[in-house]
Parts: sequence; structure tokens; C-alpha cells
Amino acid sequence: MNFWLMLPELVVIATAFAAGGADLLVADRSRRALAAIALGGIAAAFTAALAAPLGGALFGGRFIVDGAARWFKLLFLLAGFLTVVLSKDLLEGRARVRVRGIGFPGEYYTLLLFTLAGMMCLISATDIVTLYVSLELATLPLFVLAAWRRDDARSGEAGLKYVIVGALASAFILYGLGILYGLAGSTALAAIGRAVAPSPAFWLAAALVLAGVGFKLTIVPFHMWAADVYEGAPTPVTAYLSVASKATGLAFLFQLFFRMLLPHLEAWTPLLAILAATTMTLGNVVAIVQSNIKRFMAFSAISQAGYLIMGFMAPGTDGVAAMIFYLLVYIVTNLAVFACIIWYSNETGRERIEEYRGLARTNPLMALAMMVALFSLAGIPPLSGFVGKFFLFSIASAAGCHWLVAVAAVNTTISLYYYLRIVRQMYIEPAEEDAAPLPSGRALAAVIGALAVAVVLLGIVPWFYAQAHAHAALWTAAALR
Amino acid sequence: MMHDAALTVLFYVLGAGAILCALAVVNARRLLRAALALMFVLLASAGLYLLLGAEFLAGIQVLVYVGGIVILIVFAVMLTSAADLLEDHPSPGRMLAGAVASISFLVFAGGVFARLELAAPAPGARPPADASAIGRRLLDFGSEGYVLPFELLSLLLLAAVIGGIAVARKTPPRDQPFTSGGDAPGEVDIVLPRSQRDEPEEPRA
Repeated sequence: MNFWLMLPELVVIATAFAAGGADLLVADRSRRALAAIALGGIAAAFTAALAAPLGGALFGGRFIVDGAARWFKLLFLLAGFLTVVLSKDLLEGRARVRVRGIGFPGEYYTLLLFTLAGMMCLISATDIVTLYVSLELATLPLFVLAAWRRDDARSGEAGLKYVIVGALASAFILYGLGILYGLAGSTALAAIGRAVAPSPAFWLAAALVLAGVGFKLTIVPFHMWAADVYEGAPTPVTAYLSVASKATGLAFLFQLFFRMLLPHLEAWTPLLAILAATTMTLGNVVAIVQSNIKRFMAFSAISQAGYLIMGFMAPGTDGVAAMIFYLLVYIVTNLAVFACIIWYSNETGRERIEEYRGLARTNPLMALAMMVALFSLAGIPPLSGFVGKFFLFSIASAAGCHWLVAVAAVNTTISLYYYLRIVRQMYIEPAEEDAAPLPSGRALAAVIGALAVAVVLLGIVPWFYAQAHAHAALWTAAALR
Repeated sequence: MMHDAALTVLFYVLGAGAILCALAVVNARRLLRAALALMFVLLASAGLYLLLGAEFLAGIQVLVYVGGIVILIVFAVMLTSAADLLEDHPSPGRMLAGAVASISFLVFAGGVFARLELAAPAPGARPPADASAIGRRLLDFGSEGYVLPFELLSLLLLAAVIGGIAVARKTPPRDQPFTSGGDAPGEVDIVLPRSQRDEPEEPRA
């Protein structure tokens, strides 16, 4: 057995234990070593995932590594790495605005790394038992992380709402998976896909699973928890939820649609198109009236989920590649915005959109980075968001859903309006009288700069998309055979 | 034949009992009654496992769920003072919406299952029921084994334990000896700018 295939997961799990164990051993003043351990472990896992062979199976085919799985793992690790950097200041108490009841970096990083391990096993799983257990491992620690600000009622509310909704979603998924097992008599995804014929029970099962995943992916009408949870959770956790939880949902949907239901995928196109259209429209329309920036980003994230699922409308290389590429763009762009939000709230404690006024006068570089990221989320050429959306729209168009492309284009325009609201506050509204430039930590500034550059580079350098497409082609060639 | 008929009757009795008790769990006005009803749901499902020939699973169900989890819930209910404080009556609109949603799902799912012909598993395909065979399957590395989900579950439980402690932790007062300075940020009061202190109502969606 070639355990090297599992090396990224094993490294992440080992790092989780190392971070939790080191918490007991290190002195209080050297507690920042914990973040270094977590970052080093995630970087090592990233390298291992890059270096691992591109094809192979473990445990008699219950754990596979292929092009698509590797891309998802790299994306998960990227999101995890950036989140640790974003969390550092707050957890170590170096934020200028002290927040009560946060801290405990050892437990925090351990739980974060456990979610990473769960996500990585999720995308490599080939049977529904492993798939479900991995999904739980990826989401259960997130409930705790959302409630991390223990003394804050909003954080507690976020955790409680998330746990209830999460349990409901798990129940949906389990019910659906149970019916699928009953229909097929097997737990292997590929065997289920081969064994089941379209029948009412099959549609019921698939719809139940889709509804359960819809909660994780915040697809309308399963989105209602997102705004409250995003607002109440500590901001770094919100950032992580907005990218990693989405990526988990997308990975699960990938497993469901591409590894299991690939033969029946075309029957799903109309339903997916309707879900995508309602999700992006509702997310966008509600985002317009938000005044808290975290709630605003929650609805922005909902609308982005609507774009993301358009990739499932083509059962081939293009769909997978477009989806993976947009996920990469989304992670980089959204975390760039959140990095700015976290920096600003660490320095000033402000979370309302109008409180960003005059940021371009006091901190022009930060405002520039945030503007670039917001424009990329809106999809302005030549930024990466435009390129990513372009590929997804062409998928929908090739699937024959021209109306969806029209809806998506209208939505992009709406989203430009509300992203511009923040830009207007930063650039056009005058700063407060006594506003002074705010300092920024080196790590956070470096991350924000790197992400802003990446937002541009992903849009103008075709290498990333070419790589995603090539790996997706490798995968689909094997899967469709 | 007599035996089969008895088993079928038993199945329906257990199934109906489980459903009725489950309804009682969500409808009970007192938490303690809900916990008690939950115990009967779990016992009835243990009975269903027995009917399916999964004796080990039935034993574990009774041991862990009935013996452990329900007892813990009852303890928690007893220890909290506001034991019979439950939610207020939801508004009629919500109750109507909930009723419509759940009844339509029930009708739909019932219609689907009524027409469903599930093939009985082949005699050999039946999963092993005795503990040693289950143990072997759980630790088997091959394509028949479940070592990966088993190990992931252990991580999940560990994460749940750490998370549970992290949520329930009590940030100790600063002047106590032996407290960890890692909690330091928790000791500092919030220094918020004035603009955030009196926050106007957020538009909720």
C-alpha cells in the first residue's frame, strides 16, 4: 500500500495534534509559535499534495487521489493557510481593539486543522460512509469556531444557529444517502451510480442530499442561516466559513454529481439552473440593503455560490475546470476582502459599511487592495473574477441555458452596484476630521498585498486555468471511460 | 409462517411506537418528557435493529444511546433550573407553513416508498452481525473494510471533545494563581469606538 498518497492528510492531522500538544508545553509568551506550527504544517501538506502522484488509490479503492481531488485539496489548504494568518493577530491579543473571550490559539488551530483534514478526506472518499464522516469532520468543528467569542451573545447565537441548521442538513444528507444505499445495495459511489436507474425514489434521495448540501453551500432556499452566523462569528472564522465551507459543499456536490450521478447529470441541468438563478438573484438583491459589512459579505457569498454551481451543468472537462478555477479565484478574492475587513476591525473595531469612509485618504494601499478585490468579486475585466465568471457563463450557455446567462449578467451588474457602495465610502466620502493612518502588522499586510496581486495575476496569466483544465481533462478521461 | 407474521406485527408495532414517541419528543412541553420520549424512540429503534438481525448494533444502541446519552440529557435537564421553560408558541403562520411543508413531504415520500420495490439482499451479502466480525471489518485495510471512516470518526470525536470543552470553558479571573496567560485577551475590556457602541438596528433578511 502506498501511504504516500495520504501524506497531505496525515501531515495535517499530525499538525493538528502538534498544535494542540504544543499548547500545553509552550510558555505563555511564546504562544505565537502555535501559529508557526500550524502554518508550517499546512505549507508542508501543500507541498506534499503538489508532489503526490496524480493518480492512485488506497484502502482497496476507498480513498483515491486524482486530478480533481488534488486541486480541491490544494484549494482547501490555501484557504486554511490564509485563515491562520488572518486569525493570528486576534488570537494572540495583538489586535488594537481587544475582544473579550477570544484566545485559546491551541484549540483554535487544532479544530481548524481538523476541518481541513475532513475536507481533504471528503474529496478523496469514494464511498458514502467515508464521505459522510468526512463531511461531519469538516463541519462539526466549524460550529465551535463560530461560537469562539464565548462572552459575546452574537457569537453564541451564531454557533447555536449553525449547529441546529447543520444537524438538519446532516439529517437530510443521511436520509438521502440511506435511500441510495437501499436502492443500490452498495456504499461505493461509482457502484451506486451504475446500479440505480432514474426512479421516483432515486430522485427523492438525490434531492434530499442536494438539499443537505445546499445548506453548506448556502443555496437559496437553504441560505437563511448564513447572515446571522457570518455576522456573529469572529471575523477570521467568517472568512474561513465563506470560503472553506463553500468549498466543502462544492466538493460534496462534486462527489455526488460527478462521481456518482454522472450518467444522469443532464437531467439535473434545469433544476441546477433554477437554483443558480434564484441563489444569485436573492443574494444580490438582499446584499444591497445591508449595512454591516459581514452580513453584506454573507449575501455576497450566497450570490457567488449561485455562480459556482453553474459548473455542474456540463458533465465534462470544461465544467470541472471552470468550477475549480472559479473556486480558486473566489478563495483568493474573498479572502483578500476579508483580510482588509479583519485588519480594519482589528485596528478600529468597526464593521459598518459607512465607517469605511475616507479609507483611501488614510491608508491608500489597503483601500486599493480592497477595491481590486471587490471589483474582482463583481467581475470587472481584466481581474480574475471576470475570467472565472466568463468560463462559468460559457458552461451555462453551452448547456443551452441562455436565460441563465442573461440572469447572471444582470446579477453581475447589480453586484457591481453594491460592491461600489464600499468603494464609494473609501474613495469619495471624506475621512473623519481626526483620521490618522492606521498601522498594519507585517504578516497581514504581506497577505493582503500578495492576495491583491494574485487577484490580478489569476485574471491575466492563463497558466492557472490551463493547469486546472489539463488536470480536469486527465480526471474526466479516467472517469468517463 | 406464524413466526414471520409475528415478526411483521412486531415490526409495525415498533415502527409506529418509534414514530409516535418521536412526535412526542418534539411536541412535549416539558424537556424531561421529551427526554423520556426520546429514550423510547431509541429503544424502539434498537428493537428494529434486532428484527434485522443486528444484535450487536442493538446492544450498542441501548448501551450508548439509552444508557449514556439520554441519561446525560436527563442530568442536564435536572441540573438546569429552568427545566420546563420551552419556546413560546410559534405564530399561526409559521405553524401553518411548517405543517404544510412536513405533510406534503410526508405524502410525497410516502407515495414514493409505497411504490418502491427494494430487492432483498442476497443471503451472503448480509453484513456480519457478531462483534468480532464487525471489529475485523472496522480495521480491515482492504476494499471490504472500513478503517478509514473508523479512524476519521475517532478524529471527529476528539474534535467534538475539544470543541465541547472550548465552548464550555470558563475564562478564569486574572488574579487567580495558576491561570494561563493565554487567556489574556479574554481579560481585557472591549475598547470600542463610540460609533459602534450604540448600534442602530440592522436590516434583517
